[in-house]
Amino acid sequence: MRRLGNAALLGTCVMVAAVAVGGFRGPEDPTEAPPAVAPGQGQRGVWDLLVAIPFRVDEPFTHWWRAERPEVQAGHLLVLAVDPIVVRPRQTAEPILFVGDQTAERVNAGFEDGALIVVVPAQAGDDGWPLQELAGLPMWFGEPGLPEQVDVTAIREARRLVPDLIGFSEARVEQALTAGGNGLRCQDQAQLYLHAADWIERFAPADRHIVERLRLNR
Amino acid sequence: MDTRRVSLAIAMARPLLTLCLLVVLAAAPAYGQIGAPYCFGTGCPCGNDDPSAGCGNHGLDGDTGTGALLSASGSADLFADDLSLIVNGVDRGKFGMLFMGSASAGTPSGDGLLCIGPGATGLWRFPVQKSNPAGELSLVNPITLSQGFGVGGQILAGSTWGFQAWYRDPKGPCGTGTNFSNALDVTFEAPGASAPTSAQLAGNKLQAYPYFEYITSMNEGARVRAALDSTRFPWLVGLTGDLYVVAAKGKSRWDVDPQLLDVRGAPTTVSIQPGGTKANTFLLAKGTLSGTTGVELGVGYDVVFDTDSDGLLGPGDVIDGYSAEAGFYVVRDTAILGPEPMTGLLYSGGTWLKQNIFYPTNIASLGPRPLVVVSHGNGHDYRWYNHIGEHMASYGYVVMSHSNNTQPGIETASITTIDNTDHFLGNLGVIAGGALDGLVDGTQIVWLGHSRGGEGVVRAYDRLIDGENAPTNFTWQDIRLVSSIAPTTFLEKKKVLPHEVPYHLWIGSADADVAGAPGSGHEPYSILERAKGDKMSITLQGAGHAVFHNGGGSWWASGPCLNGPTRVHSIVKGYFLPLVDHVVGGGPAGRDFLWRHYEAFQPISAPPNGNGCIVVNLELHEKDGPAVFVIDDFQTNDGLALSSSGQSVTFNVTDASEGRLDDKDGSLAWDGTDPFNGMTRNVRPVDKQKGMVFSFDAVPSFIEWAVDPAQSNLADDTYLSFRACQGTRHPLTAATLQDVTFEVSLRDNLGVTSTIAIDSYGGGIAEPYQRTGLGPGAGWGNEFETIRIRLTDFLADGTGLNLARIEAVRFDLGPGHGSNEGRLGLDDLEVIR
Repeated sequence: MRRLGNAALLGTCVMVAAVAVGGFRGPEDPTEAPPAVAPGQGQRGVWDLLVAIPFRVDEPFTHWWRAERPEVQAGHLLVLAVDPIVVRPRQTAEPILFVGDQTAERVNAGFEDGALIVVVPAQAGDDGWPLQELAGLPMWFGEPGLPEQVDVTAIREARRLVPDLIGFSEARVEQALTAGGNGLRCQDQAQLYLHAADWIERFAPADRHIVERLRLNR
Repeated sequence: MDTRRVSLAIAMARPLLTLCLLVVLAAAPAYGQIGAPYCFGTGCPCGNDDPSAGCGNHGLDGDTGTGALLSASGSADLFADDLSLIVNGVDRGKFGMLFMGSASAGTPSGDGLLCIGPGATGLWRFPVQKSNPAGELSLVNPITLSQGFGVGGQILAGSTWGFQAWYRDPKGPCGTGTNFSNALDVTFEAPGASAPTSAQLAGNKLQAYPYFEYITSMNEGARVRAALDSTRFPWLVGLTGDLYVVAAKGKSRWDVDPQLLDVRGAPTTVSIQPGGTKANTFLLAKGTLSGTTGVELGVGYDVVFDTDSDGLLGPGDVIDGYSAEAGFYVVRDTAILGPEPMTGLLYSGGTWLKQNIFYPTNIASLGPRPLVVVSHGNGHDYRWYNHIGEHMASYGYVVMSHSNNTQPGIETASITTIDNTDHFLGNLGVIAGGALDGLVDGTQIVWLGHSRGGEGVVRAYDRLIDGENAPTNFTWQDIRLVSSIAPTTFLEKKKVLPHEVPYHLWIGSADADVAGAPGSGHEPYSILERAKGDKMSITLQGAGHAVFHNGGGSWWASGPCLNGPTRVHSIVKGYFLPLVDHVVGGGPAGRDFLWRHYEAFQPISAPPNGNGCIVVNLELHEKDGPAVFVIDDFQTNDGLALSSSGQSVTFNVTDASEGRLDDKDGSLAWDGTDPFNGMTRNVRPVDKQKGMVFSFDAVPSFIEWAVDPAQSNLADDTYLSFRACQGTRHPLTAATLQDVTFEVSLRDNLGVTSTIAIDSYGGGIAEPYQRTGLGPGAGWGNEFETIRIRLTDFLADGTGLNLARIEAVRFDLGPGHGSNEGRLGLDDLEVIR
């Protein structure tokens, strides 16, 4: 089991407390720039892994969040406790969320509640479920940019800049997987999003407009 | 070569043209008959006869059996001055000129026959020119041009003049190197002798010269006046007649139905006095004319001065509106909801195909309507644009605001815009239960994007042009307008090009997200500068990034005097409607909204300019082409002494520089090292928008541009136009912090000058938004705004200026001419047809 950094531990505690009182709030000054996080400082804006759910889809969908635009058949739906300042939506470049050797798709904004629901693609095994182990997998916010411009080389470079990052422990991952319950076998991305909407509703209720969008049927 | 002056394309074979001319001459009575051709090529010097034109030449076709043909179009009306003479059959790029005098026997001269002599009238030469690539010489506005001739050379009513063209023909059959066209006699008529005289009449009274502005649109509730400048209509002085305001008919209806029916109940009887405009300005209505009918932007009216009080439009009368366009339009309050009840609904066609749709409930009775597509920005929601959706739907538009995949970036956003547009058009049988089926005009689409979505819509258009995407249900030709609200500028230039689609930009000077700061990497004006079609911008001081949508939350605003969503939405709605109406629908009534200063003309219920916190700056620049004569756009001929049109520029303003409109150091503080401080028009090194900056400080100062002699005839043009801005944080800007004003003059070939102060029509050049940051001092980026002056305003009250022979445009600044001091940026000095 890998040891959690102090900052990560602190983040976990803050998250638990914050969720208990209704979630994180953002800074009053919206123009405040995302803070620079020194390399090696915890998970660089990712404070905790709260929920993890493996998924597979019968109809692959496009992962628009990296330049190669791979087709996704399997992966993980994660609920992360994050630094709300880092995820405040803005039009200019935002810190890019990396999970291991992937860019993560942010399904919600997460700013007001400090919770992000993300989709992390992974290679599918013969059984259709993701092969990726989450334990020890670094999760961090890299330099601001556009995810659609990030390719495998850029991901490697981003990882090289944070050599000290450690992933979440096996125990923490196990807790998250337990919290997530059974894996999701979905027909398509839309169905996966419906599950994501449930988690947004629970962890990021301020993003209810996103929940409504994801649940909107014709 | 002056291709923009060639108004007719006579492409038909010469014999056919001659035949047509002869048929017209034979068949037509006096009305509509232009000129009597004669002196065709018989008995030519070396047997080079051509009985259908001038003597045979080498010309464009190399056939020595054919010569150059002089023909005419337009009218012989002295006021209209719309006679157009054209010579075809000349070789390309050869010098030539038209001249006029009295008819004489054809005398061999060069390779041709000289048929015009001094006679009793004298011989008068029009300016030398070079034939165009089609082998044509041309002459327009001969009446105005003749006013610059010596005594006896002026074309007067009732006089008959013979015209002929001389030209170089080095390879000509007789070896002399010159030749002549046939000749043409024209008898000129008194103004209005055979048809009503068309003139601008309706407008607003001004406090300063030219004392009246002739305009297209005025707000409902505003006073409407007409002015007849007795110095331009001297034949009307002493006449008493009736001024009518008539529901606009258009020329074709006027020609069959000349009856005058005043919408006010009765005409106004007036007498025309000496004394120019001020003595002949008449109140037509005290705000009582309706601007409301159906979903139309305004109501058109024609103004007629019925000189013989016979209640009919006829020869001798003066009319404003004798064309397809009305004399003027009374426009409704464009900032409030229109008359149509509207329906709004949410629809989902898939993961990124969520749509908020608005349409007029009675759309079935309206027929196919244009489509406005809204693409939101990052972290925004597709349901946050209901203010635009409801507003436009109430005026009969269909609006679809879609979920936008902005977080990955601009490429995904652009694809989402294309996919949603295509899906919407392809599923009209399903959406809204089929209520829109067959009722959306998929050939008239507007894309409106906000922030990342604002860059996305431009990228989407570029994708269509470049063939990267090929949607099923529309093409790039169907996109009639692209409008961006505070767009980002992530992508390289070649991917974010508006190309030739009309492009419109909204900027909030208080934007704290896409702040537009130099060096930030996001300078939205750069997209505007890249546009090759008509381009327009509206800059709202005090508006933050998020006040353009309706989603609440932080305004993302920084700076003083902030304006919230209520004010900003009122302005946006008030301008977006006429913008779309004019650009997409071609409605004339919306045009004035795009350039007339907010201080002088604004949507009726939009917040007034007076409180100091409402500053709105407008830019309008027409697509380069025949309708635009560029005097100086600074894009070529680097150096201050030479304009881009190749003519001299003289000046005594100080600290002048010409170059890229690009702040070089990312600081807005003025330290004297960056003459283009505060300019944010080029975000990438490959962006090359250039302009000029200069200062003037407590001494009379000037800049004067010589006008290309080949382009000096401005008689058929409408506006002198340029854009200017104040230089942020410059000591001369900070010294006053108010509008900068100065004077603009035109000078003709005889040295006659006419001068107009730019603030005669309303405001001057606004001071930059007083936002701090990026170094000491206050003042955000430089904000250009367009200034337009109607060319005929320079003729007001009998200046005697000859618009057909303009030699120079001049700005006079400093004491005695407006503001005492200032630091200005300048660009796009142009004449607009």
